[in-house]
Amino acid sequence: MKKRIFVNGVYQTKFGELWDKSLEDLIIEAGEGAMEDAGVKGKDIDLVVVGNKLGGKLSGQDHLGCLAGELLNIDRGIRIEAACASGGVAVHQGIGAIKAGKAEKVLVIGVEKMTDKKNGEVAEALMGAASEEERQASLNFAGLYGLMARKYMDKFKARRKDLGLVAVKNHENACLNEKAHFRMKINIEKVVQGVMVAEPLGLFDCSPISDGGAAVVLSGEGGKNSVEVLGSQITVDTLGLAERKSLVELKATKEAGKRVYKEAGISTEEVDIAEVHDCFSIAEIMAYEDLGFCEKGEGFKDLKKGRFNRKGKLPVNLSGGLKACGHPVGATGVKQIVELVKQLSGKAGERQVKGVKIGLAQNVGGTGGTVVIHILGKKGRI
Amino acid sequence: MRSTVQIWRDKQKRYRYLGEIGKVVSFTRIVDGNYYVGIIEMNGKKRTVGELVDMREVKIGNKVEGVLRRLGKSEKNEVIEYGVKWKKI
Repeated sequence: MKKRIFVNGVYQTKFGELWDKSLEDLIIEAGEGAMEDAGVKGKDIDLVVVGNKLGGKLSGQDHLGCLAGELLNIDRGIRIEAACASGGVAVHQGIGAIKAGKAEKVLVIGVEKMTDKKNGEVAEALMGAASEEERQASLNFAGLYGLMARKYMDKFKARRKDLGLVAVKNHENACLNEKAHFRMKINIEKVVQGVMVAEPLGLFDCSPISDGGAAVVLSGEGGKNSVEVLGSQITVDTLGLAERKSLVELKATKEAGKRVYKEAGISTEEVDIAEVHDCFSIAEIMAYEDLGFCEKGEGFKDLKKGRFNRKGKLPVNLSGGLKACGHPVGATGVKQIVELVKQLSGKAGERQVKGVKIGLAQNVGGTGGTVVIHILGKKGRI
Repeated sequence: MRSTVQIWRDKQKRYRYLGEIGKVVSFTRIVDGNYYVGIIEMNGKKRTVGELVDMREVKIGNKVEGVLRRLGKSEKNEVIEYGVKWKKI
């Protein structure tokens, strides 16, 4: 019989420029927060899984499974690195450990400390997620997603302001999230007038450099109001963008999506809310399409109609997404799960959406080289 | 900057597109530094990514040729790295 997995506790630190907090501080706050929410202590946890991308490059600390174990009094720990999908893949591995019978209760922490270094150093460190050919071409991630955005806009006749609505929506959502990096509204004029970074993407098409942590406690046992993990799937694609057949879709999202819908036993239409990986505005538009929420080339049109707004039929990125909640890369995938659990258990406060039964989280590493998707639902739904 | 040994080890494949003809499939202009980078599709549909040089304006579909150019910047005690960039024809 298939082993069921439940989320027993969640926590997110404030995301932003947290100059008074170190990588260690964020691990402790996130880990202890999630354990307190689950009503457990470190000694009750069998394994801590830490999702992190840049600890070695930006904080000089790689050995995070060990460090988190020491800090939280847990005697088994591992670190997972999968570029910006490190957090989501850490959750996937935590689930796997329980399903394999290697652990009963797992703490998954996603964490990143980015603002101790200059922007240029961070951008260079992030390029470790790209191919050598892309590094030699002097690309950065804004440039890589700019290549996708250019092709998409050319093929489907989308304009800059069509993509910019992603930022407008996500900033509006972040205003209701006390943990978000940017809690201010922006309008489309501001987005379009923003300085250009990598054509056709401007400043407001790009997610920020943030510090932050998020954590979840997973186990095979759930209480009356527990949220259940209905599906967890990873797919990888080529490391480099040029090797892909299409520049206007992430094949790994499509494949992981097919697998996770099958595992969860649901159809796309049953998804009530989603947290998707809007590292750049074009990435959220492609996510709508690749996850099957709409046809290819229709994502920006449905966004304009308000379908993905907080009061729309399928709210996307209620947390504020990567754009406005912030993007501490290793923490992002875990934060997405935290947001879904809050919404599904009716604890999302001001930004709570009514009647949420199924939530989906899509976390992307690199330009789609790794994609991990989770589907969560309320216990007893199926 | 990559080490001398890394650059040496890479010698077999770094010039493989020198003299190749291709077309621009997509491109971006990186504002910090003001340079173009494109995805180039060659005959036989093989694709690569590279800097677009000596071009004031770039359009999707532009025909380009792989040319030898210096890559990045190197310090006095480092190897000067060369590779292929793409020029409009």
